[in-house]
Amino acid sequence: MGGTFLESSDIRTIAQQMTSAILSTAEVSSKGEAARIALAPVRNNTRFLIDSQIFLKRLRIELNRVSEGRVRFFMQDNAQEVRREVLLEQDETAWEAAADEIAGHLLRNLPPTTAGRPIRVAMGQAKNVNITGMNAMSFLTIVRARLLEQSRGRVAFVSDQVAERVQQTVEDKSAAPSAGVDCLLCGEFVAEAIQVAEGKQQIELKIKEKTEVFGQTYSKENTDEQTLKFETRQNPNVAKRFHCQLVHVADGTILCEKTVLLERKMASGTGAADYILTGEISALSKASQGASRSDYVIVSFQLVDPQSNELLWEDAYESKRASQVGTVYR
Amino acid sequence: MNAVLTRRVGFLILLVTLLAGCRSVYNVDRAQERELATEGTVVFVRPTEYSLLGTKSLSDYVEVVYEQARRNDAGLLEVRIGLRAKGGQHLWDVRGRDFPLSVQTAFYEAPVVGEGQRQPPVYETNWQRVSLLRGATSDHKVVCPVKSGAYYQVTLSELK
Repeated sequence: MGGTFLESSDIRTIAQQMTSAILSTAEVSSKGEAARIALAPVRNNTRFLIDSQIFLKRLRIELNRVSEGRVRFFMQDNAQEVRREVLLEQDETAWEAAADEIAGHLLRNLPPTTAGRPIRVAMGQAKNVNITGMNAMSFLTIVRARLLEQSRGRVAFVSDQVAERVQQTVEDKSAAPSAGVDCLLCGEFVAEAIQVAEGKQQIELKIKEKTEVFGQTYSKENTDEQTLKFETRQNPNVAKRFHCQLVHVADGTILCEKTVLLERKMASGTGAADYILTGEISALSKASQGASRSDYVIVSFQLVDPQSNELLWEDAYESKRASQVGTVYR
Repeated sequence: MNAVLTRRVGFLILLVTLLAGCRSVYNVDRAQERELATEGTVVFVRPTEYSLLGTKSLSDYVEVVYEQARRNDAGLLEVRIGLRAKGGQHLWDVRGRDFPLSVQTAFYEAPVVGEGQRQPPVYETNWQRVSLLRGATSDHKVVCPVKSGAYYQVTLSELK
């Protein structure tokens, strides 16, 4: 179509030239495994309003086509909602495997039974439920079920009422009778975060309803006000673990314990990036009093080491065109 | 008698025309292996414009100053050709002109020069723009990002 700025053929040429240059760098060519690259937006400093990300997109396509796995990119902008759903579902299905892992570990570390009597275990309470936003007691119940399945009679659980009394005894450190219970199964949810996440959040909603009543000789306004309170539970985006303990009721010592990962932190994946690929479009534009104009354009790309912030590679594509016709990019 | 003959001949011509029109596909001519074998590593596309005297062929104005192919440090084939606009070479055009060129490079696994049979390229660049100023040598560098690319052919054409 003409004009002084970049055209589609330039975008393809840029992608091909930069691809060859990136694959020729020592950082990429001599790396045994694939170099992981995060994309940072291309900055557009020109007078043209264009989709500057098209340069990175075309460059990424070219690199993926020909690099034969030598470079890997992250899907940074698209499909993140579906990815989140997939990961959440995978974590949900991993709960049973985690319960099996805990049960197996506890059984291997149980004290030997005496006189053929099964070890009597009370199921206690799980702590830090609010932090993780999970149904902790449900998970502990799954652990109990798995423990019973795998123990083949070595373990017997007492009723909830007895378990409650035993829990109280252990917490109070009192010498109250433990109803023949040997161990207390309890646990704690651990959220891997330095910042404290809000467990519960109160939301207050005030609704005002105004009614106007008109009569032949009078008018009246009725105002009803209603306050609704909601309680939401946050699910912080952190890795969540369950720490399970088997406590000896008689002396309060921990017989065995096991920590399992329940839910991974939802991350963009760019934390594993070796390099950042970014770019910039700059131009020197001239226009005379007549209609003639010219544009000198530099499209530069940089490969940055995120650790040291060093520029590992930089290359550019230059173009200068003069025209009598102005072009608008859409 | 003549009228009958004319009618029959006319019918025959119509039939042949219709039969020929019924074919939806035709074979495309194959490139002559002998001609392919004579092609070098840098070739010009035949000009599309002809003037009253001679042609406006690129080969009248452009010459290859150098041609270099080597493996770079990453093991990729790097081709560099120096293209110079040598100015007008004819009595009717002694000045010559500044003009842009389109350059495309195709990379192959097997040799191209002297070979009739040709494999599909492992990588092919788009038509890239090279500006030539009269008397100046323009360095056109292209690197094949595919490691198996070992042979090449550069095609020069007028920019359209």
